[in-house]
Amino acid sequence: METQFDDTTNISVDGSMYSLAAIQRTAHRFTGQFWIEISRRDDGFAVALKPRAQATNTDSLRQEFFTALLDESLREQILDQTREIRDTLVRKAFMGAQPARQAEK
Amino acid sequence: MTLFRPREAFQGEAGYALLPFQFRRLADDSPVLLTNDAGEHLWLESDDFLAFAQRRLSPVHPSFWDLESRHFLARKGQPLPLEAMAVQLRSRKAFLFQGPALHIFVVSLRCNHSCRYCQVSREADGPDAHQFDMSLADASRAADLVLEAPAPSVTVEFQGGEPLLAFAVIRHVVEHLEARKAERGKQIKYVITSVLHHLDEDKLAFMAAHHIELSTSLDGPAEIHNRNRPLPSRDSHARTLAGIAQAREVLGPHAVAALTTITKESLAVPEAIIDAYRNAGFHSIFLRPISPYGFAARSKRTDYSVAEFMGFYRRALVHLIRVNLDGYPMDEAYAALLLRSILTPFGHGYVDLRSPAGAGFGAWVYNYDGRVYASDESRMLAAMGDETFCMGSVQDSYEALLTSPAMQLIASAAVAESIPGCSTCAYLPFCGSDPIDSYRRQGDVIGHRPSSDFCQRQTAMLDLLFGMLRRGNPDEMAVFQSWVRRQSLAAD
Repeated sequence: METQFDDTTNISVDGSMYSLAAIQRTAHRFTGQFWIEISRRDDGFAVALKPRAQATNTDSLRQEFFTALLDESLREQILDQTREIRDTLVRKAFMGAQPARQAEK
Repeated sequence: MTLFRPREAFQGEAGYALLPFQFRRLADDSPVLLTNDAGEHLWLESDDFLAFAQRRLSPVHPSFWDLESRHFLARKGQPLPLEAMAVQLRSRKAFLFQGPALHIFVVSLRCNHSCRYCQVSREADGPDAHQFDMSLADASRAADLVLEAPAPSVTVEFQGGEPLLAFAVIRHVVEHLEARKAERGKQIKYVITSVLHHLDEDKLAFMAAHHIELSTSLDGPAEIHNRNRPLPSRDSHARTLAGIAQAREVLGPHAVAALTTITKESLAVPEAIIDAYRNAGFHSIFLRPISPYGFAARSKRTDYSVAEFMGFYRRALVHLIRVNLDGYPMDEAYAALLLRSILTPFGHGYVDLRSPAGAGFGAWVYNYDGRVYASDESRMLAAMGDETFCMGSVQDSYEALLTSPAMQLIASAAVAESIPGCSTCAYLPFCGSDPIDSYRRQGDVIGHRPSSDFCQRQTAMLDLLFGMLRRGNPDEMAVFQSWVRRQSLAAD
């Protein structure tokens, strides 16, 4: 079922260009000022943003959302490429902080 | 014919791998800020940043070697610099290997003030008020817990109420610890947090003998201080200044530090507050916004927004830099600790701004009634009727307190690296997690960053400092460098 908001900005996102995780992380950044609803569409996702308090400029909100989405997609790519190194690094740095019983294994 | 081979001849094998990093755009047209877990930072123009992140940056680009030396990239064919990065990360999180190093004793709830923003609970002093003093038996047991903590160097802080009203408890704890610290290999620093109205020769002689430092509250000019801290005699400011002078005479010029609490009235007069500190001979000021606890939580007159606070703070910083340039050295303690964290390889260690969180892992609070809390804010919540963060009592073992349900709840939200909104934040290496603040303000320990005052203030503060570092005004940088070279006053 689709919820309709009066002063809602609806944004369509191409699912072949952006992942759901990147869209969710972007949407989360807006949750301080907006109520958010994300729903699946045939070709991607629809994001509905309803202002919690005052009305907002739809065009600038759309631009702001896509700018943030591009950055989140980039973060996702960086994370994918560096996750293994980061895990190794944290293990190496804090090996000595393991509980003694676990470290003995 | 040229003497040297072209730059390209020195580039080595083409291609590189990205190392873990975060990024932030401060404004639409400004360069992009890159940071990594080791606390390194670097700026790239937007186009260069995209080329770098997509692994298209040329090895002869002017920033390439900076990116390599600060561990944002690893050149293809070279071993990954994991050992060096692990050492950097371990240095910044050195507090993790220590356990709780800040031990706060609430020796009494008695107090003669009725401060409108008081963040702690208090009881009026009077004939029956001794029931609000810590018993000597509980004080001994709490001191034994201090000795059990693994940290070789600990700070014991005495708070209240007004701790000087229960000086016998302070004396008992110090003597208990001094008699046993050598066999436990401990170094102990003592601090008393007091309004300094109840000093006398005996107390000062004891403080001098045990190198006890004092921390007091000074809210700026007399009219603001006296309005914030009402006494029937309306002379709180004058009495605190007299106490400062008395303490300095016996303990030395640097034995007293002061904190200011910013109330709504303070917001209009940052310059006057700084000048009042200068006139009182202080070389550091800590501009603290009010915490939403205790009596402060019930007072509308203390309510202001993050934007209002930052407007005040910007003005204060401008004035403070001018004061330094005029030849009077004075830092703002919070900016100094953040700058130290940004500009040196070491973390600030500030217990309120750590990941994993400082509450319980870095600090314990022994309340007057023998209960143990994970932080000062935890016992303030308890005074408001919420015992969620009570770890147990001084009768419990060190291990039982550290594995209590309260600590397990804190641990579930203590690591900022795993919290939504923090995990990919460029300011993560300089910031921390505060599960108790999230719980108090937002109802759960993880909290919601996009609507968090804590996050907004931290972000605004770091935007301000990084913006200034980016501009690189020589006068501002000279002052910042002078602050960084001093030891951070707020770190425990």
